[in-house]
Amino acid sequence: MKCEQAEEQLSPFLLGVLDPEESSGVDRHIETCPGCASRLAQSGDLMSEFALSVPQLEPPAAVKLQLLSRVEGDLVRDLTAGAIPRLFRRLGRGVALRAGFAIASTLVLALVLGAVWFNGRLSEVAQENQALALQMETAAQSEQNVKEMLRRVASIASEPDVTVKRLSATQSSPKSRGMIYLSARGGTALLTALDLPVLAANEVYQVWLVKDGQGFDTGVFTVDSSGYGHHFIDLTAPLAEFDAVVITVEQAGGSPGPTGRSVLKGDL
Amino acid sequence: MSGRPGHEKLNPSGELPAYVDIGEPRRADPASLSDQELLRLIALEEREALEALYDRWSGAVYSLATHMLRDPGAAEEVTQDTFFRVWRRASSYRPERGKVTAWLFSIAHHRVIDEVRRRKRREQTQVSQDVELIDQPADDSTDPARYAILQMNRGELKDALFHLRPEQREVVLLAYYGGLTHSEIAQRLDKPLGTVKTRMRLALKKLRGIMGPQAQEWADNEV
Repeated sequence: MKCEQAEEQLSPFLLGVLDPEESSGVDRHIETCPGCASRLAQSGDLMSEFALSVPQLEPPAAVKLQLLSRVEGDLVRDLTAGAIPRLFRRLGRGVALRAGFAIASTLVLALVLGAVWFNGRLSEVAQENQALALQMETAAQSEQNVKEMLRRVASIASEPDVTVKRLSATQSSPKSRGMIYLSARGGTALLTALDLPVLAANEVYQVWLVKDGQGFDTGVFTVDSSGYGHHFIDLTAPLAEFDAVVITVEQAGGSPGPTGRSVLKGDL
Repeated sequence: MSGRPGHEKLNPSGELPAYVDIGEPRRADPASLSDQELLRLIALEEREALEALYDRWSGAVYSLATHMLRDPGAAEEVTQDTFFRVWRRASSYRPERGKVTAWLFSIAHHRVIDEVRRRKRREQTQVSQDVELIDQPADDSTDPARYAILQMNRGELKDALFHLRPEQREVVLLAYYGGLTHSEIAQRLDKPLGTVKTRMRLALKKLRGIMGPQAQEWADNEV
């Protein structure tokens, strides 16, 4: 396409009135022609005038909340995508290697050693195989647990009527972000957190619902290497009865009360 | 990763220190950043940047959608979809192709057109009424061109449109606010396709010439 032809089609291109073939032709030409790209930019300003020339209104607040809910669900899906295959590959590879090694060892020893050693070795291998079978069973159960967990997260975060509240970072963890989702059915809330620091082995994050200055423990959670973590809160009272939600750092196993530094908090 | 045995019940933990606000960390306020800076942060999955862009331009997007669709519910959905597409496609924005607002409004406009065309397919209605020219009495309730011109609140564009020949003006308005393609406009006006393309080309060329200084002034005032 020549510049003269492309220039004539720039505004129709922005208006969306070109057929797909014409539109692709303009798009390809702009990729290689700085002059036409600049003219496209000028035409874009004109199109913006059309957009801004209608009576101005404000959308309802719910539109923003729904948008943020979709964005949060998008972030969760990105973080967990591939988690199951990675987890299973890691466990499966290790188990497969050990199983292969044990079988090879059994055959080598049976050929080299005498009948007495062979009988003794058989007894030892039988015990090793039992341990390997137990590990494989545990891995399969872990995979199932991870799948169920991810299903619950995606289910709540993507509900159309879910109520969403933002959590704000504190000075001790300024890059962290969090959201709390309340299912329309009311019984469960999901808290998700991003960019939380990975804690030492003897520490956990603990979630508190605060009412009248008093913290009510809802449990603990940890984060993965990317700083992502989530926590289900099974509610026995409406979330709206509480004033705030706070996440603090506590000793492993949790604390009777919020004693550690807070990392995320939000009003309810 | 979550939960511990027995956490299902909420257990009051006795005498506890009061909940104390230990202060908020503050990064640069997204509201003070330019559109381009916000888009760069959105491409890095900074949600606060998306919120700032939304707060700045959601009204304009919603207004355009409401104006074209005449359906607040559909306009809300278009607004949400538009900014979600911004979230997903932020990394594809190219500054050399135009300002962020032009890119944003283009996404919104295309989304609205998709909705307009989806409704047409669903309703299977055939527009048979001729478009009334601006300077003649007409029923503006169903004519996007006339409705648009009567509702316009920015004098520069409205004045510029009145500098066009009526037949040029109507094809531009039918295209932008009506979401019609060249072929659909030709069919509606019972004119050859080539005639419609020529009228649109001349109309937009003239508008760029008239609006050049005004559009540049607006662009200079853009955040």
